[in-house]
Amino acid sequence: MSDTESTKPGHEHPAHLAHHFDNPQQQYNAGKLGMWLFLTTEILLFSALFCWYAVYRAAHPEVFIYAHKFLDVNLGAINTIVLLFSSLTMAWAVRASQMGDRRTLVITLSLTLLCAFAFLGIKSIEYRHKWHEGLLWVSRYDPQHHDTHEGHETAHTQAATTPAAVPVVAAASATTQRDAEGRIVETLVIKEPAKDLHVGPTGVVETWTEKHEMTQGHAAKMGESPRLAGLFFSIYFVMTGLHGVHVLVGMGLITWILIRGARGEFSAQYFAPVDSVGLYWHIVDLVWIFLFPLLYLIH
Amino acid sequence: MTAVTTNHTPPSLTPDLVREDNYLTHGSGIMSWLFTLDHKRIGVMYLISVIASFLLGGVFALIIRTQLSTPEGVIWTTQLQFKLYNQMFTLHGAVMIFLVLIPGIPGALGNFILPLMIGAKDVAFPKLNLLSYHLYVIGAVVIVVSIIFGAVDTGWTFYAPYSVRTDTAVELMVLGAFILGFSSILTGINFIVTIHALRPPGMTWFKMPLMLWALYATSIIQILATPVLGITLVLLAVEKMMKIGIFNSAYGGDPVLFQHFFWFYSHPAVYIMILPAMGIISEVISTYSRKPVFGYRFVALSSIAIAIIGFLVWGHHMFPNGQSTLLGTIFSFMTMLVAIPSAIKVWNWLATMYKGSIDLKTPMCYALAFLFLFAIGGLTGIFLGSLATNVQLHDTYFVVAHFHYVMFGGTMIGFLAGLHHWWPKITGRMYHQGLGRLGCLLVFIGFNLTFFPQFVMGSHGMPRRWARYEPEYWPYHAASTVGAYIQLVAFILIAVYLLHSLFRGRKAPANPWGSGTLEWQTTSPPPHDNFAVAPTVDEPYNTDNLVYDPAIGGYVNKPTDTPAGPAAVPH
Amino acid sequence: MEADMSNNGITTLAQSFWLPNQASNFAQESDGVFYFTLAISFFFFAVIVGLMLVFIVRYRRRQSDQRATSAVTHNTWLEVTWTGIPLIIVVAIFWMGFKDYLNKDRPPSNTIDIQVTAFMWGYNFTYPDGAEGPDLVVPINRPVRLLLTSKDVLHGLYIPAFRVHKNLVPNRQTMVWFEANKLGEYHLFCTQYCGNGHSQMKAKVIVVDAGDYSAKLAAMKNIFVDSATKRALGEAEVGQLLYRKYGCFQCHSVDGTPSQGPTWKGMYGKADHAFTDGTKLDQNNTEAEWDAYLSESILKPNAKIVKGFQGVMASFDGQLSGSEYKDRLRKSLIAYMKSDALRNPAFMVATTTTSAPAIRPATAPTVP
Repeated sequence: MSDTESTKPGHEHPAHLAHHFDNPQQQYNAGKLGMWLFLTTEILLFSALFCWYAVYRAAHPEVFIYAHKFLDVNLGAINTIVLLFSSLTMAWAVRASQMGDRRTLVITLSLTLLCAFAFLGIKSIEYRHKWHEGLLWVSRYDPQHHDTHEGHETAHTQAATTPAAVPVVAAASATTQRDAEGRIVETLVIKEPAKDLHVGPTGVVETWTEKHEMTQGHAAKMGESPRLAGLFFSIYFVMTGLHGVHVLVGMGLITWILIRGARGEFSAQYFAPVDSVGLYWHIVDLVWIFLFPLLYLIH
Repeated sequence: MTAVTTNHTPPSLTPDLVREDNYLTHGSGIMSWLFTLDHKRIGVMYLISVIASFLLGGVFALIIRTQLSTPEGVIWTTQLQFKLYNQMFTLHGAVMIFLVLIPGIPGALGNFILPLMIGAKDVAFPKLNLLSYHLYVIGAVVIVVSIIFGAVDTGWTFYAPYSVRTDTAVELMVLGAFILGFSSILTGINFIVTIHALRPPGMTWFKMPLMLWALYATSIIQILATPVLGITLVLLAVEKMMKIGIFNSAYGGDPVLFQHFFWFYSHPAVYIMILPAMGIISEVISTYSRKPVFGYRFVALSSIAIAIIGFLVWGHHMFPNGQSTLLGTIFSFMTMLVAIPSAIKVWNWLATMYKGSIDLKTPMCYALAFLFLFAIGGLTGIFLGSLATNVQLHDTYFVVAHFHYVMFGGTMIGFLAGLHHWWPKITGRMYHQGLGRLGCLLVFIGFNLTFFPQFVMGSHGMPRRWARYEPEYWPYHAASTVGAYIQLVAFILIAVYLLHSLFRGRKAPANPWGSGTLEWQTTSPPPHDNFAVAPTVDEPYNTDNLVYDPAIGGYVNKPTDTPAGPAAVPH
Repeated sequence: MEADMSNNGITTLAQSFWLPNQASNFAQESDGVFYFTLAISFFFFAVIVGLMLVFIVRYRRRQSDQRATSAVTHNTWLEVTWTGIPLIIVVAIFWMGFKDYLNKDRPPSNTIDIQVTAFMWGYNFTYPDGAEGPDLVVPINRPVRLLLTSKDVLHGLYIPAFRVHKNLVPNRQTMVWFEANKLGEYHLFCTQYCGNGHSQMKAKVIVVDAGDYSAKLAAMKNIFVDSATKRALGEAEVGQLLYRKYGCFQCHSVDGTPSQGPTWKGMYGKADHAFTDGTKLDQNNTEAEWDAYLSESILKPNAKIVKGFQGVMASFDGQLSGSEYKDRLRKSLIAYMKSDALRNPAFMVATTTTSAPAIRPATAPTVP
């Protein structure tokens, strides 16, 4: 079970072979299977977020059509290319470790790390922009401007849409309650629920009787922003945020094997950790490949 | 049935050469335990922690039952005080589910037995195994801390919007549950890879003991379902802290979405709880009937069927919650289907006993109790899965009784059966059989008295999670409380004789029960690296070559030059 | 806070050992499914336990080396049979349950529609003619449809005797319907955990003759006239009735007992009534200012939270506002709070009617 066993007489096996395995091939297969199982859990972790996305997009398409324009497609595209490139360098690194090519391994891992830094850097630029513009999650959604990246005119021409399936009753008195920091505490109140009932995506029968505009600022006064536009940003921040956390963790893992690789610990006989981190990094990239079109490229 | 036998009794199994150097004595000091990589020590540490958590959860249960002894409440009587009651049932549920039932059998018994059952030296990833245990402890500590600093009062189900409005330490408790989820996932990964990669030549999939099929199916669920719980709890905490509008309708969110996400994990979770127990029952009934499990293939595949179908029924927790009739119909139908594999197992176990040689040792008594209690639990599940009857029974004490019958009467009784079955292997000691059977009887009586009346008051309309109740439900509650105290006595008795056995119990032979699986081919307790002599791989449950040796009080392989045993076995 | 030990007229006659009184159109069919499932369960349970007991006696191991007397390890025909028969049975149970459920999901077109709003911790039932109350009054043998929603968190609405059960979801609407077919009063419980008052969140379902129904609704519409004696009630008297009816008693005591909300004993005109936002009311404020504060707190409870308390009160906007009648109800509640028995004696008010009968905290609700 520990490497010191390999020095005992009758215990001739490679230093990296754990005591409870019969041979390196068995250890490698076991490690590979274990890594794939772990990645399955990562996919399921994100799948709930994609499910949230799907449910809300089906229920409030107007929110997505309106709010996605606040995202910078160019920055998103650059980030996509950066991550794709980093997957290339990562795969290259795995190959280098299989070949025992220490120099290439170190270079390619460093490049991957650099790409990851770039990705997070661009993300932080995007986040800061949102913060300044008040484009945050639903309880803090407070847009300062209504111009989008597609130009001032577009925002004006977009009428406040409400989905046809949802009956809207004329506004009566609204009760809005705010806490000490001005954040909305209570908003929607149902009066006179309509008789025709509409089934929402989670199966719950809904009748929306919108009473109250949650957004403030110029955009709301212009009557453009649909109610609950901030929901888009709730989804945006949670999904990209969780993805960003995984990128950070990936950076830590890459640094770890970079150090080990620089010390010459990997060879054709033993490269499993590089392989596993590579797999992890590819999954992180894959998640972004789905996030990018779903968030940035809605048309 | 072909059998590969050794032609002499291995010297390590004879009593006078019982090794004193075993996994318990290999290395001393607290550090050698806390940082061990030995799956057996990790299993023992899990066992101690799970038992401690069970006692904690049990204390909460007794407080609940005491409060409910009278209609207006014994401990708390005003609305403000009912908050404490609400915290009690929340903690009882959270501790029992997250600290006892989910990790219990896989962590405490599975960890110990699985490598032994496949003749391996350890699990595939011993370091991950240790990490799994450390995460369990950290998660448990976080939950206990959250109890002290603002106990949660949402129920273990954390339904929004209440859970995002309450001022209690929801975020801390979900953090603890999140950490425990990781522990569960790592155990699942470990077991799957171990079963895939470390089986010995000769032990094909359909020659594994059924316990391994059960653990394998459990691990599949752990891997697929637990991440969804993880993200759901994260989203809940973020909703509470930052108000993002996912579950709270005041911000445009959907409370029913939370329920879908939550139950997508929590329904398969109940199969995480019951499948290992079913695995134990297969082992126990086979051993104490001295017969292979009848219908091996059906039993093995039924575990996988339960795992798969179990992912498709979560909506049966939500029939009256506003989901559409179509969804409700689908879930009801699937729920009916998931009952069938469990029924198959029960028939197979009974058929195993038919014309067997039945020895009513303590583990077998627990297995029989399991059949009785799980039958009730499973059958009452049908009432709940059927749309018409669900309307009457949803969120009443009928549900409370149902899940206690399957989780306590199923999983915990299975756990107790396994604990008593493998106690000699783990500790190297025998416990007192008479007291063991008495403990089983007391648990059985106390359990039925506690929970059967709850079915009746539930169908009469008694709602769950009520701190006080209408006077007409009093007799049922009173009986239920008496049963709870009988169980207290029972568990004290069990603790006493088991602890006593550690110090004064007779030393255990390698195979006290005459079981055919591989873990009995090593000493009790096993040496540090499990097998001094590599075990011979055979059909699981083949006990043809075992004879009882009164000198050691256990079974040994008979020498090949003696004729076959007493009863001729027809082929 | 006193406990209510009486059954208050609720019919507790049971239909059987297992099920309560059958009082709606659904009960018989629903119960049929229940009893069928019960019979199947008893049968299979008897088989399982019976076989188990027979086996442990008949095949008991009598010597340590006794072997099994059968080496049969499987029998495909048998296994398929014992898989197939239970499968057919559970599908049959599914079908029976499904049909009954469909029925519950499809109300007829001639229902009386009653809006139900749940809140922490009570219900408000609004009838077609505008009457409102905390209990559900329905006529016998007429289909009734309840349109359900919640003001705050999830709640449940469960009428065991009717076999009716549904959740109430905030900002959503759910529905149940039924036809009561037995006169009497029945329990209505909240079954979806909703906080401290969950176990006290209940209502009565009162089934009356069709002829009496309109009179009952009319009485609900004018609480200022006692329906039994036809006597006109004073505002403070009505306020005391509303204290019970709208569930204020769950959180506000009238005898000084500390509870979730400030006690009304001595509250009106208190010497130092401080709020969490740093402001306060005291005896230098006018009666009008105290009235305005109380009125605001009923409709917007979080506007001014008294120091030492949490903001957990539900808003009564809509129940005690929105019409002249409801405004008058609110005024009556305030009149009760400033009546001689409750207000701080050091604070004089001009508007209490000292000719009202002596107000004592009631020991039992007098709501019909």
